[in-house]
Amino acid sequence: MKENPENPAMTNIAVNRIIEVSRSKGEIEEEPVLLQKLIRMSIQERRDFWDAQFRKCIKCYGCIEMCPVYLEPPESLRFERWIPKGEVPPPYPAFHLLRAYHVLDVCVLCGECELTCPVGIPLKTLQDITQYFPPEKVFELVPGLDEDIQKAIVEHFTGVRGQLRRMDYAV
Amino acid sequence: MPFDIVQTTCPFCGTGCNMYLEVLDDEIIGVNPVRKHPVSRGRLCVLGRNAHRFVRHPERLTKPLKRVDGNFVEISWEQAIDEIASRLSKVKENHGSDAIGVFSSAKCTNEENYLMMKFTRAVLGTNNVDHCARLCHASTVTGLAASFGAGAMTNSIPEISDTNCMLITGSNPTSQHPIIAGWMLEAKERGAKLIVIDPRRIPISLHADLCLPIRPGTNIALFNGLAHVIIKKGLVDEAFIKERTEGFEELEKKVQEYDPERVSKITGVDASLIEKAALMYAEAEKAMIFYAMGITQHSSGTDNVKAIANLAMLTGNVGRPSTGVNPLRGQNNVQGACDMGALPNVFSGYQPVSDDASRQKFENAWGVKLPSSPGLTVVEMTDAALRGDMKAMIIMGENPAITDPDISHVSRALDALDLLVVIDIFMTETAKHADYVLPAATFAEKDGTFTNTDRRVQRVRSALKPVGESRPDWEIICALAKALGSAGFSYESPEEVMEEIRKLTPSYAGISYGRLEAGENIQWPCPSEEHPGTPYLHKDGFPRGKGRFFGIDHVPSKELPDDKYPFIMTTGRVPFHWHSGSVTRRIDMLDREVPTGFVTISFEDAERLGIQDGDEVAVSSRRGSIRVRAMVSGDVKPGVIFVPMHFAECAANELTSHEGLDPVAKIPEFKVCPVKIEKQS
Repeated sequence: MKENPENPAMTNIAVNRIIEVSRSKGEIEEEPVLLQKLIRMSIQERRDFWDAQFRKCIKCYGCIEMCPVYLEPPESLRFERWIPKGEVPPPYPAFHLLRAYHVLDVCVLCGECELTCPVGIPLKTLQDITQYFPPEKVFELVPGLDEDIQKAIVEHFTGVRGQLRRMDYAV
Repeated sequence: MPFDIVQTTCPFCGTGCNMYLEVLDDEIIGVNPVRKHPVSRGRLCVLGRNAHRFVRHPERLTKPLKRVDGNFVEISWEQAIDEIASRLSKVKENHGSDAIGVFSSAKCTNEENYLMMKFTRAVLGTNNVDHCARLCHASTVTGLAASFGAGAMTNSIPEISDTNCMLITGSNPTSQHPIIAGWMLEAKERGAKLIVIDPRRIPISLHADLCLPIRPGTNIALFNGLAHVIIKKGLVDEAFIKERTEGFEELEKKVQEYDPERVSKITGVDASLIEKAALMYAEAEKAMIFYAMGITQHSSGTDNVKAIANLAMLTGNVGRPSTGVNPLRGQNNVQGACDMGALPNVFSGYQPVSDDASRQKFENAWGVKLPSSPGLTVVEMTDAALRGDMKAMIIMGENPAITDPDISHVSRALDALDLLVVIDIFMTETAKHADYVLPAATFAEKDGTFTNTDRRVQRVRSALKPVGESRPDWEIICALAKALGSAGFSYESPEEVMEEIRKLTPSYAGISYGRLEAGENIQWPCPSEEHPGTPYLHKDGFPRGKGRFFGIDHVPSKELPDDKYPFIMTTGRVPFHWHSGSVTRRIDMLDREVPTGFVTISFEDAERLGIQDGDEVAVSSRRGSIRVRAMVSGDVKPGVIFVPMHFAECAANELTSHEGLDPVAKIPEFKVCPVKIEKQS
């Protein structure tokens, strides 16, 4: 297969790499990456942003299929429990946050989920958020999650080992 | 434990994504997307990601079957081929060649379609060969042939990201062509405008700048209305019209009658929306139109397509990158099956059978005399079977007992045949009517090429040996031809077939397996080995010389809603299933998402009829009735209902009509079917 000279899929990951290289060559001014932009947004702006992204979802399950570390999720966080079958796009933002929490313990931040997403949702940023912030902060950065699901997430992880891993990393 | 990775082309839609099949021992254990593929770019949809899950399904047919006293019994290949050949000869002797009909398959490879059309014409001696393109884009082929002289997607998928405006009509890309939808959403995020014209609120409507909820069957009025506004506001591309087209006066005169107010009354779309959409499309520097079954599956299908071509020519949006008229084709190889001449009126490369020079060329190559009058189309063959004129049929990889209109009519026709041979991978609803069922190989068990919607010819590679005694379709066709005494079917491999195709088909002349194996991605026309292929058509001229404008009138659908059948039913697909469901309903993961059919009804209609979400209702038309679960939703307008086509137990095509075909394309009106709805207790 020949190189694809034009129109490579410009994922968030690709953009970040380009920015990194350009910055090291002194070609561009400092510019906030998506995560920094999100932190500066109001709750409503964040909601609008993620809503526009997540409603592109066609529920191909590629983010799960391609994940190198994905394992069967715990009972209380399974899609069967929270996500209606056959509905496209799946309800905001439950599908995507649940998936991100399915791999909380094992994610290696490889970005395969974003690279394979047919509609270009910035899933790597979502992984960054769930990996480095405690849940109460995550539910502000990706606002609008049903309280029952919030509770299930917090309960599962605190129940498992008393406190969430990586909470110390939180800013 | 031998492990192998095989790159191949996805067997579902016409997007033509590539995938790696991961083979361990005699099993495909996974699918991986191909990052460097120019269309799919490391992405796949839910169907592609599960494409391997049906290949070794326990219900695969593994032995030839013969009907004996109403039951199927297993027989040997030798017996099957001998008996079919002798019964075909008998039909030919007693009733003539034209008493035999063949359905070729848009799911099979180019090589197999070429062989099937050669077999029909050179061995059976009839032009009665057609396939399911008749039911999807036949009107594209006829409409664009009239307007431009060539009926295919004019531009390429990778050009989408650079366009300034997308007009999507009668197509639900996030469900039907998800990877193309990804390109569209990327263009949208880069600032392109998006106009969606559809009777339903479809997922991509959520991202649209303008949504025009059109009444089904009023497309021509709407496109005339858009042309009216564009001409009135002086937004036409005068230089393009003058140099590249003819018939502008005819169009100008006709669309004068279609001012937005009048069009609004016909289509149910606000006049102001029509004006806004016209300006948005015409003011864009580069604008692409995408359409699919919502345009073609009408009794006015050919004219709908011409009306779309009018708009593109009016604004000079043809013959440049990121513009054009872009039919999104359904099946993985429906473009190829048409290119290969699995159509009743043309040989490969759309060379007419009635043209003496073309016929002479094929007669010389094949060494036989060929019939000169065009054969029957899909729906006409069914009718002929019911009349008793058609005595024998061979159906390869199609399931007309679910996908053709008015399926109880189809079933009666199949039962009326003296001989029905079905070649398929599963015991489909159609195969259940057969006298002989021959087990075929899947896409992962054979070699060949598919041609995708943007005319890209791509390799299909064998990853496994065919299961049981199943065989690739090309081997089955060759065996039948040899048993019927033909000498012209001794091929060692599909590559040899491609060599013959290239000699006889100018648009494929430069496309060799050698080039494809070297990693080239070639789009036809490709007239020589040195030619790089053609990403977009009509750059310097149209195949017919000048592009032709047509002044077309809105003609109402053949059957309209009335007091007895007050709703318009429109049919379509869901993202998790494919056509008759014979493959996707056997894949657990997909079956779990949508296990059976439903009918989408508007809130207003549901309240009026006392129907709650989830209630069982009967939907009936003049043809038949189905019982199905109601899904009350804001996605359809009052007066319109939607039923997916996949599910045999509540098949939308029990209700659709096989009458009222488009006069040129002979496509049935799947998209407008008057029905009534009754709540079941």
